[in-house]
Formats: sequence, structure tokens, C-alpha cells
Amino acid sequence: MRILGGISRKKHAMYFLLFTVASFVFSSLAYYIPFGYGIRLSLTSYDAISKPIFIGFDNFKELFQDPVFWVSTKNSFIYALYVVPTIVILSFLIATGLNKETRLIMFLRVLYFLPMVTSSIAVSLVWKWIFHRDYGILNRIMEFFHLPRQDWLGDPKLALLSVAIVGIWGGLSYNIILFLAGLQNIPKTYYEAAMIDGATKKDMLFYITVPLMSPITFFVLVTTTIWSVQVFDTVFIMTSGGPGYATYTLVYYIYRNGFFWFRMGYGMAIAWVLYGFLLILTIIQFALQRKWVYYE
Amino acid sequence: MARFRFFLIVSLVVAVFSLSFGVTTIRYGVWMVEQMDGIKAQIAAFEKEHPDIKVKLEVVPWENYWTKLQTMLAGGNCWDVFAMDTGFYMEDYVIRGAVLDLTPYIERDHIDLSVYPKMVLAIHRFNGRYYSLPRDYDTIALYYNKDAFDKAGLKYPDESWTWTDVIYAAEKLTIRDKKGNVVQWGIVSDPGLEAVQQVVFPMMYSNGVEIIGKDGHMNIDVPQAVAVLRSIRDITKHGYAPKPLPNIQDYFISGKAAMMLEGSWMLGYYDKNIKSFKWGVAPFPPFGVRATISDSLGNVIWAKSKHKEAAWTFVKWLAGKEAAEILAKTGAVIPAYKGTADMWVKGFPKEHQKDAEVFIKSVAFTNPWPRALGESKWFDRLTSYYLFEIVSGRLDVEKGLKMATEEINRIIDQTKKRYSK
Repeated sequence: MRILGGISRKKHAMYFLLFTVASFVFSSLAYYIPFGYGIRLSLTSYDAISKPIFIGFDNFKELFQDPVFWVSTKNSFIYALYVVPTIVILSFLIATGLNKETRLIMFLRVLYFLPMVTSSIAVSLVWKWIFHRDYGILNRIMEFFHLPRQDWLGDPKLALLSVAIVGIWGGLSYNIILFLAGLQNIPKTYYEAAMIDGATKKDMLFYITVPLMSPITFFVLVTTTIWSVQVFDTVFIMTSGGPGYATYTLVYYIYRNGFFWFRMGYGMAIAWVLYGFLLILTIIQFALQRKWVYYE
Repeated sequence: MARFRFFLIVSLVVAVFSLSFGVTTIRYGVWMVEQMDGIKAQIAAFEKEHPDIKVKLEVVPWENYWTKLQTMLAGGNCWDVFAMDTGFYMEDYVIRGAVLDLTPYIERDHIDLSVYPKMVLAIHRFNGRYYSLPRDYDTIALYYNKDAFDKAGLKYPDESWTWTDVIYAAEKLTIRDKKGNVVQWGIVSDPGLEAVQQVVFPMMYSNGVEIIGKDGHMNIDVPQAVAVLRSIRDITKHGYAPKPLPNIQDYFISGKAAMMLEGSWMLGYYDKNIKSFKWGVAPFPPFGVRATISDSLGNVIWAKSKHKEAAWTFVKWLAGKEAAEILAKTGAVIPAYKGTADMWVKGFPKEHQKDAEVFIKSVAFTNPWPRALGESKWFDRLTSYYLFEIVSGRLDVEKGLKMATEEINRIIDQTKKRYSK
């Protein structure tokens, strides 16, 4: 409210309306209305062409007996397990490395940020070639080190991991920026004081940087979890859910149902269950944060 | 100045109106990127004959065509006319009322249906009604790399070949480097032999499997079907054919495969693009009796199109002789119209005319694409899961086919129940 300090009550109300109404209209159109419409459709059999037929909770009943739904759930969460801890730890470490003001580091920051501004479709296409069984550069490298060639995207044991590698690569940059901003907010005086008291570099990392960064870490953890459980584009381009079910994720399964199999209602039901999963997961994370997140 | 501006606006308005007055624009959606020359030539010829109708062509590649189509239908803003893979997907759109029943138009305009081969016309008939007219058809045969056969000292495949000859040749033609990596595959499809249209279904027909029975259910858990899949899996296991890949890969065009089971739709493309080796075509090698498979495309009209008459004029023209002749000359696909298949053959250089004839002669023993309700879903499940896993050797043949049959029949029943009203 400091920004609006010194202006009249009337003007204040006007700004309030202007900003809130505008954002409400846009978020309604893009979010709340489809959200509500989705609830309604999840209770119907809807093929997106003819009229929806109300079927009550049949979609949800079917869903809990649907093996592909459970495989997709499992894959989504295994993917998150691959991606989330790796991203949190790696982007934290890289950000610490980049927290200097030399020319080289500034240049490196740009490089690290590049994946963020690259189209994920283009990225997935390039990675598809890197992973290619016959012509991929990764298998050439494996051969160079006398390691056996792998069918990265065609082997069900490896496919999800390969997709996760791309997810990690693509997800790092945004989180590095977040951590970097957090690091630059830590006053230098803390480190100076610690140095005078004879603290080592390791002590400073664990007793100053990590606790002061915990709110950012928490934010990164929550957003990365949600983002990774919702993985879609890399799966869509690189494996189409294959081989077999090996890379079917929840969002990909929703897409498959809604836009391939004429089962929009069923897709909506899965979307709602996914929403429930993420809500529970986030609540748990918020409950646990009291134990480790330190607010100044 | 104001007056000048007024004049400018009026003359602009008049110009725009006079241009658009009496001209109907219809949107035409297709996926056949490899046939663009022919499609554009067709549209140009049609617009010349019908100056009152303009056709706006919109191309979306096959991988995204069906999702785009479904999204557009859902949004209520679709192409007036669009290409339909009649064998594969038409029924899914017919039962949902997304495409216009053309039967009344056909009767009104006295369209002669006898100009299309009977087998091809059958693909376009649903419970006695027509929603599309035949545009083209295809058959499957065996492409082979003559250079690879010469090097191995083998005789070229011909109509006497059976599946046993193929396996024998595939073994001899598979070449590995010192590390054991395959340099040349014995036989491929796109790229593995799990390809439904080019390998699995025609072989099942050849072995006497009635893929979709009279009751509309799938029957691919029978011993004859198991035998076919066992053979395909064994060839793959021995490494004569590549394992299934999630993405399409053409080993034949790059000279990395000696034989390929492929459709007639690739003939024109190979004729133009293969320069580094000599090649030929032999009939589909029988596993039991002689057989192959055919699908046919047609053009359909969106049920909610605002320009149904203009759309029908276009669809009617596309199914006519002139349109077929244009298609024949570009060599991409075999047009369905009587007599134009010959033009298609003659359009190829001498050395490949005999190869083109192989596809035409295959019509004598071909089978229509097996059609059943819910194909958008079950075809996807059959290809991307069951056949993929069986041929990769991760799913037992007998068990896999039984599971596939059960799931597919469940999908068929669900769809039937949902749309019976």
C-alpha cells in the first residue's frame, strides 16, 4: 500500500477495481470457467462432437479399475522422483557457482538461462536425435568409452529416465535464476562476520546460505513438483507414451483420451484426480515446511 | 480532404464487395503432404471450372491431423471438406454425426457408382449409406533392393515367393559389422515388422484369419494369428528385422534394408527419390494363401458446414474423372476412377511400370481394411501397445493376442452401447 500512499480514497478504490476486475476477468476466461466446466464434463460421457450424456460418477469408477491410469500415475510420480531432487540440488549448486560478478560468469548465466527461452518442442526434437538408437550422438559417445549401446527411447527400462534427463536439463535454468536472486539477497555482512569468527567455507554454506535460502528452496520444491508431475511435451514428442506404457504420464493419458479416443469426459475425470493428487502433495509439503523452512 | 477520404472508403467497400459477391469460399483440410502437387493442381482445375467457388487448402501432417480435426469439430469451426481415411476412422465420425450423409446428393445428381472397383466402394459404404466417394486405393507389396540381392548372389523375389523364401533371404541379406551392429537389415517395414497395415493384417488374411468377424468383434486370438505373430517375432529376435521403434524410420530409402513391406503410396516417392541403388517390387509373399490389404481415402463434408452445396460440388468433382486423371499423373496414389489406374502405371518410367502393375494386379486378391466400432481407440492400443510389445519379445504371443482381443472387444462393445441410441 506504500505505493498508493498519499492518493485519495476514491482514486484508491478506482485502482483497486481496475486491477482486480481486469485480472479476475482474464483468469475467469482462461481458468475458472474452464475449471467449472471441467467438473461438469467429468460427470458425462462426452466425445467433443455430439452432446454430452450425464453418467454420474461412472468415469471415476472406471478410472480406479483402469490399469493404464495407474501405470500413468506411477510413471508421473517416478518421473517426479527422478526430476525434483536432481533439479533442486543441481540448480542450487550451479546458482552458488554463478553468484559472482565477473564477465565470464555473466556470460555463463546467459548460457544457463538459454534452455528456458527455447521452445520445448524444438528441444525435444533435438534430444530425440541425441538419444537415437542407430545414429544418436549419445550412443557414439557410449561406444567411444567402450560401453554398450543403449536403446534410450525404445527400452522400457530406460525410456522414462531418458525423458527425465531432458526434463532436468530444461527445468534447471528457471530455478537457477530463482536461487540466484535469493543468493543475492543475503547480506554480505553475514559472511564477513562468520569469517571473523573463523568459520570455514563449508560452515558458511550450511549455517548461513542453506537456512537463509530455505524459503526459496521450498518455493522451488513445490513448483518443480507440480511442474514435473504434469510432464507432457517431452513425452508427446519423444516417445508418444511408448514403448508400451513405459512413458505414459497422467497428462499424456488425458490428452490421449480427450483428443484421440473421443473420451473428453473421461479425460476430465483424470484431470480432476490429478488435481487432487497435486493438492494433497502440496498440502503435505506445506505441513512439513514448518520443520525446515526458516523465515527471517 | 474529408470528401476524398469518403470516396476512398466507398471505393474500397465497393471493391471488396464486388470481389466477394457470389463467390463462396470453402475450406479443405488434408494431411497428404507427399501428394501436394496433385492436390494443388486439382484445386486449380476445379476453381477454373467453378469461378463461383474458391477452395482454401489447409494442410496438417498425419501425426496431428486427427487431433486437430477433433479439436476443430469440438470448437464448432471446422473445414467444410476434409480428407478421410475411410477404412481406419470413418465409422468413428459417422456414428457421432460429424460428417454429412451424401446418399441423398448421390441419388439427386444420379452419380454413377459403377466407375469404382467394387472392393473399393465397399470401404465407403456404412449400413448402405455413403459419406464419401472413393478418391484412391492402395495395396501392399514387397519392395526390394536389387543391388543388395546382387551382392548376396540371390535371385530377385517374384510371384512364386512365399514367406519361407522371405525368411531365408532375410537371413542371407542381414549384414553386421565387426562389433555386431547391423549395417543392412534383411527386411523392414516402418521400421519394424509390427506395422499393422503393411505386415500384420495382410499376413493374417493370408493365413485365413477373419480379423473382424460378422458379429463386429475382433478374432485375432486364434492359432492362425498366433502363428503369424510368432514368425514376425522370430525374424525380429534373430535380428533380420529391426525391433519396433516409437518413431517411423525409413531404412529402405537410405539403402540400409534389402527388403521392405510397403504400400503403393510410396512408389511415386521412391521413384523420384531413390538414386543410389536399383530396386523393384514383388507381390506380397503369402504366409498361407495369396492376400494383401487395401484402404481407400475419400473426401467428406462437415455435417455443420454452412456451404453444403458448394462443398458437395467440390466433393463430387474430386471423385470424378478429371480429378482422378490429375492424381494419376502425379504418381502419388492409385486413383479409384475406372480406367485411370492405367494412367497411373504409364506415368512411371519404363523400368518401374512393371512394379506399378504389381500393385494393380494385387487388387485381384486383396481384402478390405477390417472395420469395427471404436477404431480410433483400439487401433492405437493394438499398434502402440500390444503388437509393439509382442514383436519386441516382451509380451508372450499367445497371451498378448488374447489380452488384445479382449480389450479391443471391450472397446467395441462400449462404443456400440454408447452410440446405439
